[in-house]
Amino acid sequence: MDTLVTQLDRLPLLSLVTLAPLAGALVILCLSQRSVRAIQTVALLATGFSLALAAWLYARMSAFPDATGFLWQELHPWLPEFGMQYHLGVDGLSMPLVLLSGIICFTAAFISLQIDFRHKEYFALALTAMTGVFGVFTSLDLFCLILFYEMASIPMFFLVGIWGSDKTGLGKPIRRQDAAMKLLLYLQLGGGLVLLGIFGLYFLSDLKTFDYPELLRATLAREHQSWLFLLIFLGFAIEAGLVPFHTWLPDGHSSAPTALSMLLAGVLLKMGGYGILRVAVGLLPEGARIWLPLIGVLAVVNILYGALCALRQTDIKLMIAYSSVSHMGIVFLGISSMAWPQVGTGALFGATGAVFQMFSHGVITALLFGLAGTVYLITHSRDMTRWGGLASRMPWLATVYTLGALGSLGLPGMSGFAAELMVFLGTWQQRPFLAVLAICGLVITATYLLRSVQFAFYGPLNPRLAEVRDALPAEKLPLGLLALTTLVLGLAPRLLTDVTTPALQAILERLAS
Amino acid sequence: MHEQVAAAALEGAAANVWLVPLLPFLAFLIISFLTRPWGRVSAAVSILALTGSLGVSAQVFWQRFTQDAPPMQVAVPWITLAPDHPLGTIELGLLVDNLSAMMLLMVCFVGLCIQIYSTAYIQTEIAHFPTQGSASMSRFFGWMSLFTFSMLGLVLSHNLLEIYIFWELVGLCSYLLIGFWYFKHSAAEAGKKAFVVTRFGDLGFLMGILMLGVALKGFDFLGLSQKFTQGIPEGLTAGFVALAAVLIFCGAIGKSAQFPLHVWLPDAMEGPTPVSALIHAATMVAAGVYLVARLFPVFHPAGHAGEAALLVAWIGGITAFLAATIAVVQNDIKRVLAYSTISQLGFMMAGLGVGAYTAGSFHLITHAFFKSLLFLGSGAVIVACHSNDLWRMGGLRRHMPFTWFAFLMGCLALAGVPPLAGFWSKDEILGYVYAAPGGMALFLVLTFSAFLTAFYVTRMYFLAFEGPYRGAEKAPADLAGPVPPLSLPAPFPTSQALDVAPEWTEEMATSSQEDLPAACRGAGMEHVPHGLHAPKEVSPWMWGPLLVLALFAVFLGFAGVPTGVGLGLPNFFEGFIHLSGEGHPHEFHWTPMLLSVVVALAGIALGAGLFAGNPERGERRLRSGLRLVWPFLQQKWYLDHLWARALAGTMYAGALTMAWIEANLVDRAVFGLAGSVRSWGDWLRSEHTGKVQHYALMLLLALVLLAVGIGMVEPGFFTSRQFVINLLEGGR
Repeated sequence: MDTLVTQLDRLPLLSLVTLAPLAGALVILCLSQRSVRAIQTVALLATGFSLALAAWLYARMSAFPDATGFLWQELHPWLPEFGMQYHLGVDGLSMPLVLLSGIICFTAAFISLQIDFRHKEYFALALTAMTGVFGVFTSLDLFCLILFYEMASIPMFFLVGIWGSDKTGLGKPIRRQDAAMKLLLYLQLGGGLVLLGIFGLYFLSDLKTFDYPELLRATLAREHQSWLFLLIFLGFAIEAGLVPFHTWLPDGHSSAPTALSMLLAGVLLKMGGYGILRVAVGLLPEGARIWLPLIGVLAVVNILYGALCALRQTDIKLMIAYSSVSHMGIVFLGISSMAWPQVGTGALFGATGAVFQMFSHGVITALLFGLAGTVYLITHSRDMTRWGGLASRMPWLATVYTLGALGSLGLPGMSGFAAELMVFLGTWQQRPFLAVLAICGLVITATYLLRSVQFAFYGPLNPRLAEVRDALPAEKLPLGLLALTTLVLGLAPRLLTDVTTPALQAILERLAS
Repeated sequence: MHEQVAAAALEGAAANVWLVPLLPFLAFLIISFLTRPWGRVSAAVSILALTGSLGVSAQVFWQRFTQDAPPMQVAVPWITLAPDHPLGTIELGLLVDNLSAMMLLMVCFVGLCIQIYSTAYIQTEIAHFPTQGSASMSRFFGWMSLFTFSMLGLVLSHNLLEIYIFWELVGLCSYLLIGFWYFKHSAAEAGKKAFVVTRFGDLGFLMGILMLGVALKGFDFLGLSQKFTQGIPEGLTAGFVALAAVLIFCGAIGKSAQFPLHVWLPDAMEGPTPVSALIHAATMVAAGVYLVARLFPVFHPAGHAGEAALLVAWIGGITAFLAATIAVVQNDIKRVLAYSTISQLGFMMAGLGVGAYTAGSFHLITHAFFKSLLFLGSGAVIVACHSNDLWRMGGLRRHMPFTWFAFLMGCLALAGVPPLAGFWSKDEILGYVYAAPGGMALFLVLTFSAFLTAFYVTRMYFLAFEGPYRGAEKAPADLAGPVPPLSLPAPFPTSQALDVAPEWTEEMATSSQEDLPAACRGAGMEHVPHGLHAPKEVSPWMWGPLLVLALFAVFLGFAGVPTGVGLGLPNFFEGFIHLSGEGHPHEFHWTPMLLSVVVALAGIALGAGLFAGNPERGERRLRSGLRLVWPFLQQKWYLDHLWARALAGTMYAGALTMAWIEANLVDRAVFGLAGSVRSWGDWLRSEHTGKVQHYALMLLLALVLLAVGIGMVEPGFFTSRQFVINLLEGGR
């Protein structure tokens, strides 16, 4: 057994995880447009392979809690004269997000079976984007990271614009093409700012390298750190839905096809959060200490503003998208508590809570989008008020949606609670007032989510929908997997915290010194 | 609390205490995943599991009762981030002391009675709805098991964060079970209201937990209590502790339906009656009282007045009074009992607030028995009469003798007639309040509430069980019907505030019933038999548990007879549940005891005088006698309206404002930016005309601009020698 494992370790494991979807996309491009079944099978195999490998790597990492630094590194020179290389590796911060990407990509591929036209282009583009997503989390070279980032974001434009859905009904109508353009512009703006910041790092650090572990040794002047942090933070924050740069999020997420909503909310937002932790906070400790306190205030704005906006929506996908804005506020709040790494356990709880929330929100929101999209497919309406009483026709979807809504509102036993508890516990040790405001968001969250459950599934059945079906097995499998993940993590949060703690402690030590 | 020697590990029977919550949880899993299609099998699984829990908890109770052991606990880390730091770990654990052992026994026993009753009862409710089948029964017992698990977990919780976890879980079960008939709009609305209103309280609870736990570097109950045995812990001020205690009490206000967050509990009666009995009378709503009892030293730090405790006492007093007055005017038998529950919880809070630790806990236990008895009895009555309306009942004494007897015992216990259970426990609270310094005003409020209690109980009893049977036909049209009348605007306008209305509503469903599938009719599909059938006694599965509970309602009080009464009985309860190191054992006073007997009898006499002979006339006299107070009480003191405007209104106003900002400021700014970029582009594009003359002109203009620019930066440039040479030689 041991020998087998060591043999396997010689393989480029992370490259396999990262590039499997891209390989799938290339295979699909060689297939005929009409062989739909083959295209779908390739997509499922590719993402399933990535998920299985990511899960195996995760299990191995959690079996060695003392391992520090980056594991399974692959380093190949690429443009050495510019300090660029193909460098992959994971630690306790990125490994959970790689696993998250695996879960979301696999379930999204499954839900994509609902797509009923232009399969070849759809799956090729979606799989390319998935490789980008994996790559962001596995890259240890900042230039690689930016490339993967672009690889993840540009296909979204086509996927939303072609396969998305228009918002009609109450409020301002949104065309999917406009939403796609907005999404692309915002993601490019974010990416541009990050790129500027990374070039700044490259030139100001005198190391002339994009390699992350080497940049960790860089010493930068305080004022340089300050504005570099601001650039990089802002770039990633736009992607993570920071108010007031969030408006691409509701439009883009709600207009996207179901699987893309899952991918966008599930992992694309987390690329922002991860980037802030890894690049901005990780490389620029001085800058972080300057700006993090302010970020806590913005985080509370995010939490309350997103929740209140969600309360106003009747379009279920818009409501979930605004709930993402609110929940990403928890991530920002957790990150901001890292500003005081010396005091008590606040910073550690806040940072762990932020990572936990990224994972948890990714799973829960993907679940909710998957459910909402499936009900939309069945009822042909995204407007909750045009549903009603669906529980008696789709008991499975109603049960799992209720479960997802409860998870999202932070019910104990589900992953969202553990995340929020850690963030609140961390924030309270430093700035109780911010925690008080953030806690107040809980009641708004409960209101809009339970209202959506009531509008959609409770009450008398709408006669227009008297003959609708429940979920099919091909929908139950991915959605059930997501629901199971949040339950398992909610009951045993140590499965995640034990992996993240060493990596986060390393970042906090850098911040404290 | 008890002598704070270091807590021991779990030993003896207590070592098995983890089985107590685990068995119902297993039952929940088995029912959810294996026995769903077979309702009766699910019921059997659930009851079997609970019987096992009861057996273990009885052993634990006996162990605690016979041995004078310190509290025992065990804990495992749930989240560990920094093991060597006091705030680096969140633990889950089990705490077994006398209080939790007694609560375990009560929850298991009452729960078992209610579940046995439910096997027969829930089938009668299912029979009303043509779309519901055996799976509904499984759903019911599954959720009841999940609730039992959560409640037992709450009782055994070892620290504040853990109790918050189970606190939320019982809230979830309450939400699910209130909305059990999810196709009824009213049930779905009531479930949501219960969850959201209690969550308002839970906000404070969570803040209080963090405030106290972070300041004292620990969340476990024994540790916290220990820190308060010598007064306010070092480094904290009395104000800080009081604020934390008040915040924690917010959670209790929500869960135990205390003023001003009591508004959810009456609506929670939408759930099936056993749910009302178990969750909204006996166990979950008592969780707030249990919490205050658990944190008693925080509310009453040694050597301090305890401002928080004063607030607890007065909130309890106000709640007891307010709910008792509203109960007087209710027509729905379950709502009478619901308001009565709120009122009795107020009594318990008042008792704990003035320091009556034993008396408050005692009333919690006795109340659980007689109130679940009354609720189950009302369920039997509702099954027999097919209505909740007291005016459609009457004369049931002759038709349902077993139910009548049990219900009467419950009524007497609730009214506080000696020597039934409710008398002893309520009297002990009153005695404590009477003796407390400055407690006279509170004592008068509570005594008057006790009088009202006896009165509304008598009214309910006579309307339901005495006189002739009225049924739907003979019910007086001007008196019967829901209170407040349904025609008034809904006091919790969820949808109207946002201009959102579902496409399909309950009204549309009821207006066009004929050709609709059954599921589309919601509450309208309910099948209620018409015609004047004589009500029949319910099945033994239902009256059997009633009689068992009646036994306790009659005799349980003797477990806590004050030693001063001279019955020669030891006060078992006080011996078991008491504060450690109490220097002054509670002095017994005859005055409050006699007074409470007098008010109970007076309330009964007044009720009997009005409702014994001709209840219609009595009710009319009562209404005219109360004059303007009547509509005020009928509208529940307008508190629902106030909440709708104040809390829900604020929240929805916030939502509307933020959505406006989103659409008109944030998005408009974005589009404005995009628009300006586009118009710049348009302007630049218009310059690309394709005409050579135009381009030549532009070239010339640019040259002039360049020359002027250079001339301004370097005035001597054009006259310099170098420039002339360059010009002449063409730059060579």
